Amino acid sequence: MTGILGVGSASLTEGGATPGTPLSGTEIVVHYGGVVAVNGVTVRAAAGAVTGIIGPNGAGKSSLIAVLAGAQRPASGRVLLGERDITHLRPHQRSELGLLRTFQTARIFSRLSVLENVIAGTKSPSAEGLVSALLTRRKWRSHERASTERALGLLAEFGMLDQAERRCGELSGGQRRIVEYLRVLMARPSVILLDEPTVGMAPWLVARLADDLATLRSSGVCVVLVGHEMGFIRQVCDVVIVMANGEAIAEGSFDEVAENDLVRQAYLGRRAGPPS
Amino acid sequence: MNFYLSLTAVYFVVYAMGALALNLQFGLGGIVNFGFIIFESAGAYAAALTSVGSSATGVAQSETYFWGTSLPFPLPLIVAVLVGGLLAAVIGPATMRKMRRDYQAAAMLAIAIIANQLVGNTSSFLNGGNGIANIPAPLRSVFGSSVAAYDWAYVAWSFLLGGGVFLLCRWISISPFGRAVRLLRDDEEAAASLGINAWSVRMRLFVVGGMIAGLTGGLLVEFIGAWSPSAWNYQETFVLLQAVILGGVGSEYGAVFGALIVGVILLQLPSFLPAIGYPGLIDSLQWILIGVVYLAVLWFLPQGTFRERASLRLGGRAPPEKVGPLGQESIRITGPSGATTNEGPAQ
Repeated sequence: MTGILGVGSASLTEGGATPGTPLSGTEIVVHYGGVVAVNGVTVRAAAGAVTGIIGPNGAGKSSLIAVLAGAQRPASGRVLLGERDITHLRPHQRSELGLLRTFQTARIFSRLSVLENVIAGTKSPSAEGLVSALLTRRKWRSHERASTERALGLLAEFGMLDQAERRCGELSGGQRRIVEYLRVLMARPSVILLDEPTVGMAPWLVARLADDLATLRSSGVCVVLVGHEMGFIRQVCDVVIVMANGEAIAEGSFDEVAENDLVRQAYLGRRAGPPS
Repeated sequence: MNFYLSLTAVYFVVYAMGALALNLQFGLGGIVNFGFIIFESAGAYAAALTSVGSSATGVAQSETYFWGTSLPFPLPLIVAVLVGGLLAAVIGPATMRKMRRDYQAAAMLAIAIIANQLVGNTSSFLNGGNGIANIPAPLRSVFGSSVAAYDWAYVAWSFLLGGGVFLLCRWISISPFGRAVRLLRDDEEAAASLGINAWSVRMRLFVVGGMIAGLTGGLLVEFIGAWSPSAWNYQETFVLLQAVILGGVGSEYGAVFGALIVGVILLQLPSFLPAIGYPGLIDSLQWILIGVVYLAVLWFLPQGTFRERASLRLGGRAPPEKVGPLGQESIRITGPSGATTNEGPAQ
């Protein structure tokens, strides 16, 4: 099958961690000074599924994502990648295990070109080795060529091929989100954390992203997604966790949580209908 | 006159190599190293002490270092490189930690000032403010009595080393390591999320910069034959920093160009001018001019003369025409430089 982004789903397993790895956070607690942002939330994101985390502003969604990604150390609780406890691993170590993320506000490398930004997702043989960068030039050049081809293919499929050599800092917000997403794909992740991925994206790109997520799911990738666009959440998520005031107040399919009274109260107040 | 010209040429190479190293640290890596000059100085002292033998005489006294050791060429230079890198490896852990860049800059500046004051005021250490003199010129005897031939041979040797440093910096810049460095510069948290160990990468970069700085110090001191704290005031770092900014932050070509303008034209050529006013007036005017040029560059040319080049360029290469998995996209490649047009998704 021509899988995600035209590279074949098999390619997701090449070089990176193995798809089929679930991610879970157990009894996660996050404090900011005296403020409790996340209060004992448990998330179990299955491999081959898209798990959505929704909730009103300030619910603690991004703090939870930060804990799962390793950017925020929890006051208590554990994070497991498969069977492995990764609670104390730093972000770069989690990335090496195949756990990749995007940010609530797209974080791009503004002075690098779009192509370089996308390539940044690949782990080159000499990414941190200065000596190998100097002595194994042929090896990394070959790797760079292959990565470039793949990155160009990804950019093409998201309508950004003509932007490849442009500085990333010149892009619009929606384009930055695409670049951020594509560099995650370049890493061939086993777990992806997406924080509000559709903000600022053109409708056809949102549809495209939904298709990609479906392909990733069928490839065994574990996707955790924070979002506010309920139509998109309903379309792509297998399981939805609703957070409010730092706690998980409901979990289930989108339609199930939409019928939940606590969810209605959290979103729209007591007399309002379900989120739409 | 011949000596002045060759000295100016050597200074150009020394400034160019210094600017390249600082560009590596600051331009590519975002490390604000206001103490760069101490690594150059460490290299200079290392080369001096390992080649001077028993002939080290300062103004006030005579000293012997390392039991009168006088290593043959080019070992003092190698020692200079190692000492520059070692000093960076010692200082790096204190300043490369997750520290805000302004604090990092302040810490490095403080270290540079303290080191200079410490050496300058401790006569029993590196001969204090008098410094080291009578440092023998390497391979001087090979050229017999021809001073000019030796000087210009040294200039050629300097350019050879300078060319090597340029290639090294350029190579680092376009390698995946260089990209990792630039990712960290632009956004450390995002880079870490892609598997880059900020501490490890920054330390390597810092040490490489220290090694190049050590080389520049060794190269210079073996030509001028003397070294003292007045040669490595903290202002020297700002000369290099100005060269980097004028040339274009992140550009190796820019670093060399900046070194030519600031290090040679603004700093060295005025020494050829006839004396005017009271003694020291030209020196003072020099620093005023450098400050004014610094401000003018920041105001009128904040991007510098050369722009940082992307490590990956499509050039004439273009991806094959392909259709996306949804059958939506059709891509047409046009333009001789690989510029592309995308017809976009079918609606």
